[in-house]
Amino acid sequence: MLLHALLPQREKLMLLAAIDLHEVNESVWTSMLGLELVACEPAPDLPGETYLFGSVTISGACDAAVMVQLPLGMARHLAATMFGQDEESIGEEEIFDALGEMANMVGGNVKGALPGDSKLSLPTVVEGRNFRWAIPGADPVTDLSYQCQAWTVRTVMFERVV
Amino acid sequence: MRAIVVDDSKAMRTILRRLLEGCGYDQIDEAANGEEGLKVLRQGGRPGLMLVDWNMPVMNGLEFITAVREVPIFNSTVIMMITTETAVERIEQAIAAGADEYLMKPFSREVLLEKLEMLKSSHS
Repeated sequence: MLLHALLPQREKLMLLAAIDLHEVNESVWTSMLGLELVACEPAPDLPGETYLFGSVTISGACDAAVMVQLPLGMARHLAATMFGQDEESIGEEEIFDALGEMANMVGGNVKGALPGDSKLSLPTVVEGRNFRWAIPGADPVTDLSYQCQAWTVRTVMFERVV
Repeated sequence: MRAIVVDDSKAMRTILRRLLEGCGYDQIDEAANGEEGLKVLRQGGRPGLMLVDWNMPVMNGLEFITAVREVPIFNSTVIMMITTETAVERIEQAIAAGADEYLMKPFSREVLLEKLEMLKSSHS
């Protein structure tokens, strides 16, 4: 924390950039859940498709956020994998819970790679179509897209400049 | 064998329940936060193993473990903290509060089973 406090603001910004988000994603999605992620080019959201966003914020050593974005089909598949059930038996509660936990695990590992003491928020999950979202004052530091089976998965790390 | 899983994520509780069932635990209680966990214990639950998350609403895992260790009948209960908290200071805090083992999320099935096996042999 002390070392971090001594860093100039510009270097503070680089803290999150040094974190290998891909490695974090692989350990959460592949090692733990057995879901293979294939890195791909970012694709625009499909019009009319329902998407879910799971996010957590980090405060302390730096002000940051981690967001996981999935189309509903992928979110259902993720929940079915985590709950060990058929996709047909998965309801909204399970989908929100599973994505919240994914955001928590990815965000927790990002936080763990930061110097000093930081706090992780409880996860937030949002579902909707054709909507815009933003974290005012924060910039995306890393934005990764993956193909997982027939769906896309996107993870983004944001950092706020104080 | 009896265990309790205390985690605010139902998905995580389900994953841990499945793994414990595979290890022979046949009576597994679940709680979504520390307060619910204490309620289960007050109702007579006396598990041999507790798997506890750290960041939970209402009562976090550290507070739960501290409360549990104040009760003498749970002195011999094995407590493993399973959390995304990775800082060394946090691990030390958890051990000081009474956790026997610490596992970071995400974890693989193999690592969890290995740690459970180690705890089993060190407490038998």
